[in-house]
Amino acid sequence: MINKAFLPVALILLFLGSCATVPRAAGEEEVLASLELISGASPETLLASSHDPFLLDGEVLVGKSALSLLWNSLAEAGFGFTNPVITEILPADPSQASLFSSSREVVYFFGNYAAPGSTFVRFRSGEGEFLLLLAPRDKGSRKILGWGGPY
Amino acid sequence: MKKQLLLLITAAVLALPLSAQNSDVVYLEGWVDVKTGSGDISELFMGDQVRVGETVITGDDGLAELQPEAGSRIIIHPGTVFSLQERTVNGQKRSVVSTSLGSVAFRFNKMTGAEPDIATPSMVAGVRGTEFTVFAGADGSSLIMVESGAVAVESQGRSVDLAPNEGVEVQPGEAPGEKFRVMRGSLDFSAWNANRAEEMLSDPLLALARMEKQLVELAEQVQEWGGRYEANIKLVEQKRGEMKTLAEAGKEDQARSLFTEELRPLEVETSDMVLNYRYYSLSALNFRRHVMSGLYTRMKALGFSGTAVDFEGFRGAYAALLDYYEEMIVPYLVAADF
Repeated sequence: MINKAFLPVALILLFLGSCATVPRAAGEEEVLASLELISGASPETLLASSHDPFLLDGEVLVGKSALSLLWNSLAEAGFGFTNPVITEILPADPSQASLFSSSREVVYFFGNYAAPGSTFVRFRSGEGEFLLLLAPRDKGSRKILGWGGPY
Repeated sequence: MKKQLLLLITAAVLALPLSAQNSDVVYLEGWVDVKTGSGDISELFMGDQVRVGETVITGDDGLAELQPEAGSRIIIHPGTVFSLQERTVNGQKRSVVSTSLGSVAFRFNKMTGAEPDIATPSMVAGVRGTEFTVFAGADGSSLIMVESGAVAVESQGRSVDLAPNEGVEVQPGEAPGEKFRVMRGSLDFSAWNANRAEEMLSDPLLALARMEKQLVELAEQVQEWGGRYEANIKLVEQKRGEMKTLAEAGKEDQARSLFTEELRPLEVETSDMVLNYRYYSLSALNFRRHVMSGLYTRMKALGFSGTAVDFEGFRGAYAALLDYYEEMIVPYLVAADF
């Protein structure tokens, strides 16, 4: 016989328990940390912080060499985001694929890698408006899943 | 129609027999990934087997050594994208080992006549030798050097036979150049590739035009084999219907005869067509993903630094080429390919 007074408490505990297992999108601090990383970290650190495969505009970069080429080329070009201001943070979902590209490749990328807990960010910097994708949190950190822009 | 076509493709591909071309991983260094036929990317380990339809991707510090058969070796150097594929030529199934980017050394213990064709984005080589190295450059060009035996390099309908200590370079979409003498170990892939990349970036629109030529060639093959497949599959359905009608009418002998003399050969022919348009569409995907993407990445970085040559012109031409790829190649790929 279940104590009726216990039922609401159990439901609340169940709800809280389920909340703990639902992956959450990144908050503003995590996003800013990622933007700082892209602007200032070494190519080696960025390589270790990047998801493989990785989305760059409409390009799906596959393999460590392709990512190494990306971050080394950008470092040589002196690339960074100047004074980034976040304008939107949302859980990533397939409908955002078209903001990067209308190609089927990018649609599949979102379907395969923008898992629950991944984050879609829109931000503005001195270089223009950009999009950023962060992977779900894994072992205490989030990898950069991709970025696009300026638009 | 497209959806139906894709389902048929998937079924046909799954029905393909496994080939003896599968290779054992006998040595590894650094970071090496494998992309499986189902689209998963995972780290490769010693003792794994690389199967037909799979792609090995080595990092800047990665090296993998495969053993396709006892005594033979395929050495995949750092920064390389290497696939095991199959196609049919004149009705005969042929193994193809493709280097989309980077460098691979081949050492065949003995010639058995069943050696795979060697492909890069810009050429196909028939092996009649035992030791040679293939370089696939950042701009889609290729360089092949023979150490012992002989290799016939073919592109755009022209063939060049290489003897020991000879090499030849092939630009994307072009016939092989003049062969040259080269001593073992005297050519460094990194230096050669850096030159190819530098030349590519000095005239990105020319580099893109060459890549377009290569992509168009692949797309024409995809369309040809895909078109033949679509026509054949209708015939297969028709013959299956005829066979069913005969069987229902109790004409078992005629049904059996129809199967062995018409339907079965048609099914085999159709399976070969699938193999070929899969081969060409996957080659186009690898070219787009590992060669074209590399040019885009470099140009994007140069665009930020303001040193890119005609960046806006490049962007427009690149977008047009992607539209072409999306229209001509993508309908023949399946979800797992991406």
